[in-house]
Amino acid sequence: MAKQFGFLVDSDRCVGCFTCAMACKNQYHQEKGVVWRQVYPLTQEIYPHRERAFYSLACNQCEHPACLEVCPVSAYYKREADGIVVHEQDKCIGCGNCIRSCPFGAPKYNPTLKKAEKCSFCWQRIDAGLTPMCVLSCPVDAIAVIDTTEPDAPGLLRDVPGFPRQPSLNPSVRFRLPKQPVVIRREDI
Amino acid sequence: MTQWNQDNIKTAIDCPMTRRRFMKWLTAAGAAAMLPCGFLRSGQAMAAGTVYEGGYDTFRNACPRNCYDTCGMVTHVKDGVAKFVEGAPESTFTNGGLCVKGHSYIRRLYSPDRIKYPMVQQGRGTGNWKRISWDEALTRISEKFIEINEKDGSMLGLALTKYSGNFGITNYGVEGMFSSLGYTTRMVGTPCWPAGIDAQNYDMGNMWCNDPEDMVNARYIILWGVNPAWCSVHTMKYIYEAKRRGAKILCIDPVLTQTAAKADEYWQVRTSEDGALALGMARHILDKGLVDQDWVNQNAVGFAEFADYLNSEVTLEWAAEKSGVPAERIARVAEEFAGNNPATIWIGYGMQRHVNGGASVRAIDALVAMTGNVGKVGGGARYGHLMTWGFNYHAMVQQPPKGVKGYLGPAAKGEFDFTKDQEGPSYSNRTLNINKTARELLNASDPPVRALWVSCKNPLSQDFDRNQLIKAFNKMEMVVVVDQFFNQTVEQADIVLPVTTLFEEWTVNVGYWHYWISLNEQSVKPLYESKSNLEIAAALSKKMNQLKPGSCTFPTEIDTREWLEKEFNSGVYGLFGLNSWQDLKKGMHKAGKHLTAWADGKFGTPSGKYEFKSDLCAEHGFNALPKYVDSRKPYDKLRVLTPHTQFGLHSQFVNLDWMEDFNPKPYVYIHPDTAKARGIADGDTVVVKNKTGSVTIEASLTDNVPTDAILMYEAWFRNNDYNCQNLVDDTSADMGAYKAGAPGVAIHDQFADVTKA
Amino acid sequence: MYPTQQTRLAALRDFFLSRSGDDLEQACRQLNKLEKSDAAPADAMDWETAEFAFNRLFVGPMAPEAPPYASCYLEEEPRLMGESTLEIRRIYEMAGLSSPLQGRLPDDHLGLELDAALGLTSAAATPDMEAPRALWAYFLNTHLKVWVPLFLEKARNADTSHPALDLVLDALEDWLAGQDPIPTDEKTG
Repeated sequence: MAKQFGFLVDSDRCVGCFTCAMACKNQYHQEKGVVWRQVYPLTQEIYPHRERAFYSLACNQCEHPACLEVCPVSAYYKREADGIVVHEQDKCIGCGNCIRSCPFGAPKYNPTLKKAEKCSFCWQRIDAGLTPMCVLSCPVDAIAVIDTTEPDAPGLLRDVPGFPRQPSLNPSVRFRLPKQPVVIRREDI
Repeated sequence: MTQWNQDNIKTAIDCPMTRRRFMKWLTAAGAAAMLPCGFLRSGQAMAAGTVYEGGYDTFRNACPRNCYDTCGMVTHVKDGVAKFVEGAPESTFTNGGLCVKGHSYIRRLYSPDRIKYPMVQQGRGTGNWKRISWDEALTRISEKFIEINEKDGSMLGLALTKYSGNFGITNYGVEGMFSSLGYTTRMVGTPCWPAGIDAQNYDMGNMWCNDPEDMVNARYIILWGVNPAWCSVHTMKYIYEAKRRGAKILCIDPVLTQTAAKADEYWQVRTSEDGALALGMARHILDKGLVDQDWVNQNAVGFAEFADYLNSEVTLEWAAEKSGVPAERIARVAEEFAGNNPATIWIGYGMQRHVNGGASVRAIDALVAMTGNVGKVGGGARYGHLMTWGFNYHAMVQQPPKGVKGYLGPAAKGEFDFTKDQEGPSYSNRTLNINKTARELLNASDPPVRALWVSCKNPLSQDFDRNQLIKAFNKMEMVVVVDQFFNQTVEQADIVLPVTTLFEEWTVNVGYWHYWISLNEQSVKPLYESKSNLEIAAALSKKMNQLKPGSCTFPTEIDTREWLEKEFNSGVYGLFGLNSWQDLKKGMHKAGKHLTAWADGKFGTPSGKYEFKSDLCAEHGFNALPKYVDSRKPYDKLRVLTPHTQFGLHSQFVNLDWMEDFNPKPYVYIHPDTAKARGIADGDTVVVKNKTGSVTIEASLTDNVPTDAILMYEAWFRNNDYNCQNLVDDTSADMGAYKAGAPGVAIHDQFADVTKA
Repeated sequence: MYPTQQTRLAALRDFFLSRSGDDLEQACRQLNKLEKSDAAPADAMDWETAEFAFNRLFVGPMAPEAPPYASCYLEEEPRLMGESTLEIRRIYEMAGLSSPLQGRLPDDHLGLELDAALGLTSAAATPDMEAPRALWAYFLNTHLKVWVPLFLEKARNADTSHPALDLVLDALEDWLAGQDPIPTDEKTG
């Protein structure tokens, strides 16, 4: 049976160190301002301490990708074997349909090339038997490659606050939520 | 298609390019396949960007910055160009990963902003730069050095300031270069960790910590004033694993750091009252009869006196009042800590950057020792170690030219100065306190400091009292800065010399936290005219000897790979299980011993025991017992904290545009209540001002900081005149002079007020 | 016409490869003789300030205002030693050239490219030289004509300016404009 690769985002382990985001630039050298993987701080409604809990997100490799649906020149395709959503930049005409349609903001506009681009799930590395660069780089194993055709591991969530709920697209991403420490604040102030 | 006629081409092409390999047009098979319409590759394909291609040459590099993790790296190279880096896979410590900084290195190497050539500035700070050859640069520098020598009869007018910008062992050739010129002036000491080093030396006879990988065995972990989530990311997984196995993680910090958010419990301690807190816990442990009396009896001296002190002068309530932490919490954690063996405390460097920093570290050491946690796997008062640094320091140890004069009197030595004290000449270098660089440079006389050489350091972003420091620079007759990027110090230089990045030089690296060793190979040729510090030393020596034979003993021709080899000895080989340094080409090695500090109970103190009471400490002018010492009296309304950001290592990395994608500008973090009282809203531009200087900066409101403190991360940004050292004076920490040559500096004992701009 | 063109090209090359104020002056005086420019004559120029301005724009130690490397304009991000640098290295190789500074100075430094242009235009002017002509056409049309205008724009809009730079930038623009795209009718598909 074909696989569906996706990312596990373990916000309980994530320390918001941005290593994954920079590791991606290290591999792909994106233009300044173009970021395929971003580390998003959770708002204080979701986690009370500012900039102390994060979702590290890139392309969610949806089962039914909106980008692929709306692309007028078929610059997107989904790999049969592992479900990775590939963007072929050579074909891209820069119309921006995918950028407007993706509710997760995965495709980015490259103003120099006047084309879209997005996280490739490091398919070239996958094909070479390697781990995606972000996953390899994470010092706390807070992101991992998962196969969503397998049953979810205990405690993993599909819908979490702050992440758009899109059952029809079925993003291949699973979460673990951050916990809070017992906080003892000073008594003298 | 006509073939190119080699003779015609040869006459036609009038170029200075050499190695003209006049290939036949169609024999360049790979190239020909790329031509248009089946020949040249299209411009589109050219712009397709960088992807993983396979078939790379790999080289070993090591991040040489001043960092707990000192990661080994595998650099992937194609066509002589470094393409990307990965963490060394064989290191269980880094496990194939780096950090946000380590993954930006390719950008450092190939940034268009690198300093490419030796250049001379006409008027410091004017921005009027001329490119000069290495020969001309070294001639100007050597002539100045010779002039100084002739004027003063010594080289004491020549000063070196160098610290932790590149910890590759061969970079101690900078110190070697200075030694080979004669007796000079050296900035000695460290702003980093000296108070804690001395504290651990008084208590145990050395600074020595367990292997961080053994933290998984701890049943209780206190992270005290340390933020590994940002500053030692690879240690976090051991803390998580200990937690998974059931350990409790307590984080104590004035700031709710990222590490605090990952702990089971976080205590917001009143800044610089860590000593009171530790002593309160100690008193409670004593009261509850939870002291590990067997361990104490066997391994320690002076405990009875310490217990007397606790009984007579410390109470739980007093500790609570001083630290701001509720007494019942202190009591509960004291009992938990004493009842869960092995328990460990990781003592951060931030908590000792205070006027009472050394005293606080001694109090925490005592807490760990009295519960019998010193010398145990999974235990220990962890601070740092230099157990793996037993290199030859061949590059560093150079003899002065015969017959030269120097300073008459004792010279201080830094904590990384592994040279033995020399017999014979009574002359020495003149040592000045690095933590008071500005005033020391201004005040030095007979002779004054006339020329300053800056290497592996960015004083104008890292040294204290910046306004004074500018005055000190102005006093110099010549300032030479060796660096990779234009920064606030290069701005004030006469001559700048381009130095190699880690990818362009041979060296070897070890850490002061983990126990691994990594080779650093030359992965690509040095770009432009950059030279390694060793090559600069050799070139300077050549010029000095050309202009004044015998004026410099540094070898004039060196092979940096050979010099790397000269750093190894049987001790290093034995410790790391190496037959040759070449073994490291295959990967990093880990030390086979020293992994559990003080396991044999043989301490390095005068008594050979753990010293709750240290006569040596008293001889040096401090309390013999780890008594409470008052914190610095506030001189303004709010405390100013200027700790590390995860996006930089001191003044490095923050200037890279890749980093600016994630860390575009500086902020001052203010508690919402503090801000409200001053009419400041999130995102407002504010002025932070004190007696030393001021900064104008954007406010970010967060209750991660207490109401009586504000926080900004060190140190500067390239497109912004922000500099946190505008607000930091050069007040000393208590300890540091014993092992680091000068006391530390009270970086976090600073105060200011903030107003809306 | 032809020798003049070559002299001009050599002077432009020398200007961008200048190491000192003297080099700049020499190259500018050479150009001044050849150009019909509105810019101030070389005799009226202050060569020391020209050198400061030259370094501010093209050399350092501050971040250069207009780095003279093709990849800074052609790559997705202004980076040295990018794919386009290696492309140029391959073009030089096809012409039988290689830079003695390879690995030290990026091959797509403007000075080196003008040097290659000097070689290729000479070769292309020789009768029965379709191959170098094709290579020159490719180098000119797909490379120089793409990035040099961007470079000129950046250099002219930089904070720093100087009459000597005006003279040289005008001369560079004129030279480029005067280069006819050589018909590449030897396309054989």
